[in-house]
Amino acid sequence: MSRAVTKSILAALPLLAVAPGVALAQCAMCSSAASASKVGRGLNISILFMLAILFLTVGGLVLVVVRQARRAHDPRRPVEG
Amino acid sequence: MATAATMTTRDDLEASHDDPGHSQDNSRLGALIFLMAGVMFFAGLVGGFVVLRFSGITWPAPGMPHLPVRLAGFNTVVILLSSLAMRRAVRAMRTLDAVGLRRGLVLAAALGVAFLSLQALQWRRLLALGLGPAATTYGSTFYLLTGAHALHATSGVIWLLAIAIRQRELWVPETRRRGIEVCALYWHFVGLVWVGLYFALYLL
Repeated sequence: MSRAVTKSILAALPLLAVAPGVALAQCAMCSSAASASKVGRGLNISILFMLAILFLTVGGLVLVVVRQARRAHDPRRPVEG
Repeated sequence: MATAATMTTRDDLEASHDDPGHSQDNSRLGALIFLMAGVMFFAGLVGGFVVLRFSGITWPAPGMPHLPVRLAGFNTVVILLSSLAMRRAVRAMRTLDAVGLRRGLVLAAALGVAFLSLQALQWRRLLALGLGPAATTYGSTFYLLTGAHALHATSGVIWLLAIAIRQRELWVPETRRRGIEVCALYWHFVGLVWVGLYFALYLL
């Protein structure tokens, strides 16, 4: 990593200390607005659904990579081509 | 020591480029990463649908027709059969059966066309019953999800036909073999996404 990139990252780090307050305020507003109506139920189910899909997809990809790596290093693997 | 290590790495890299099985694995992995983006695209659309579906809105919207569960169920069978035909085509390719491969590709594409025709028929019927894409959220989510899927299915059918037309020889060149494997992955993805959409749109 170049020195300029490292400096930029270090300069941006203090922003993280400021950002969470704003982010939490937004979340609190969203959650109170959502819980006051029936939309909250739909939002919760949707969040869980997307989380499950993300884990399944990334998990599946990791599984494929691991299987391919194991197969590539398997001495009994038949020669293709 | 460092030089020896570098040499080994370069040798490995060169060997990996020469090994057709290895490059096939890489193209499959690349396709899977691409399909991950597709899965997340449809997950986002279904996520939006789920928010609306479970938000206490009357579903289906008042005065709007129910979705044709049986017709869509039959269409699900059609696309699953198409996926099966593609699987047989890939198996034929692996056993160097070029005729079986071409037959499988044409069958998969024909079933894909049948699927799209039935989808068009379904849309036509629903439009005649007053369910338009701009009428209600019920209609707009339905057309958005099925339309996005139909676009993917259309591109898959074009891809299948393009490979089937090019596959005239009695052997399968290595470069085409990789393409067929990736196309098969894409086609199975289209089939699996439809099963998910069928469950979400018609059965929930």
